Amino acid sequence: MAKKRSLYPDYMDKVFMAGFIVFEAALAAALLYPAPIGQKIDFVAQYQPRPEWYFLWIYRLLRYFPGGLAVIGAVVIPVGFGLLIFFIPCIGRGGNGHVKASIIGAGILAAVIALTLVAVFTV
Amino acid sequence: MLNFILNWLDRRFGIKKPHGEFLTRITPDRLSFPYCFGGMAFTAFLISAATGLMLSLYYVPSGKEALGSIAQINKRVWLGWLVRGVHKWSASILIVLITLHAMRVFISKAYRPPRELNWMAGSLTLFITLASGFTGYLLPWDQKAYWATTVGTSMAGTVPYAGGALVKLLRGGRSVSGATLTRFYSMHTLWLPFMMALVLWAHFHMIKKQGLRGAGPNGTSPNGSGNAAGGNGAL
Repeated sequence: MAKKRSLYPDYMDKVFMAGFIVFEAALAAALLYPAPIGQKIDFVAQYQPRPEWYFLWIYRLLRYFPGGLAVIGAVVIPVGFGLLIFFIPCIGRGGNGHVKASIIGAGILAAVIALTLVAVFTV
Repeated sequence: MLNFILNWLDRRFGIKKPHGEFLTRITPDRLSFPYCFGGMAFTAFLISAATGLMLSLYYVPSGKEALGSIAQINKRVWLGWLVRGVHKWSASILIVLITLHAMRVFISKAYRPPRELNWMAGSLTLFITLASGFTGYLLPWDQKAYWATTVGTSMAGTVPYAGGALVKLLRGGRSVSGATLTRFYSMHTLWLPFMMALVLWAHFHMIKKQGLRGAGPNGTSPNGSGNAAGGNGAL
């Protein structure tokens, strides 16, 4: 049997070092791509802004539900995804629960990634 | 190194004795890199919090002065541009790491009893992070910020019947204005970080109580208490 590892210091040391990687990554990214200063607000002219990358999937989703259906893309699907993620433990109950939860979880992840990619590669 | 720091602290503060059982707990042999994602996400949150506190020393949350104070931070404040950059980037890193951590937890089936509530607490940290990203985006009070918030908050208006009231609630008025900026600043720097602290406390409390699942032989904890609540599971 392998040597017994304890939470401290074995695991904590590892997490501590992993935390350093995060700090260095944030620092390196900030050095390479600093946050720019934006333009003054033009309150009059309509302007179509792109959101941060983590909301791009919703931005893209809105386009598939024009007019009266807008609520589906703007609220129903995003909130629905959030609720499904929150209630994963309830979906994953029982014998084949994990399979059900896997299909739902992977489905949400795939949908979000796919919509994000479509948004990134369309103007 | 961590050993040295904790030993020094321990002699003065006493951190090991009350946490002794928890700290010296045997962890599974197969704890691989993905088991660090949670700790890494927490680090990203700490970086956001620390840089956010620094930015709040100079940022002015008013329609007239916000953009000017951002320019001040970028140009005049010592290393201000770097702190602002790290703050912005740490948010993106946090979202990626929470997602990776959630995937690790899901794959090791650690969302199952008795850890359901901790999965829910974890999902709340993701929602709070996204809300922080949304509210933080307005704070520079520039062209992109203003219009992104106008579009973002208008989405709530699509809800039948309650839509108008929801949009008004989010904006603090009919359209995005100085009142919205005050509201978002309050959310971004007081409400959401306070909620995050509470949820993270609960998250860590439950990890401590329930242990870490799935890394031991046959997907159980090595102490043989894989699914039992009661705190003698590994980690």
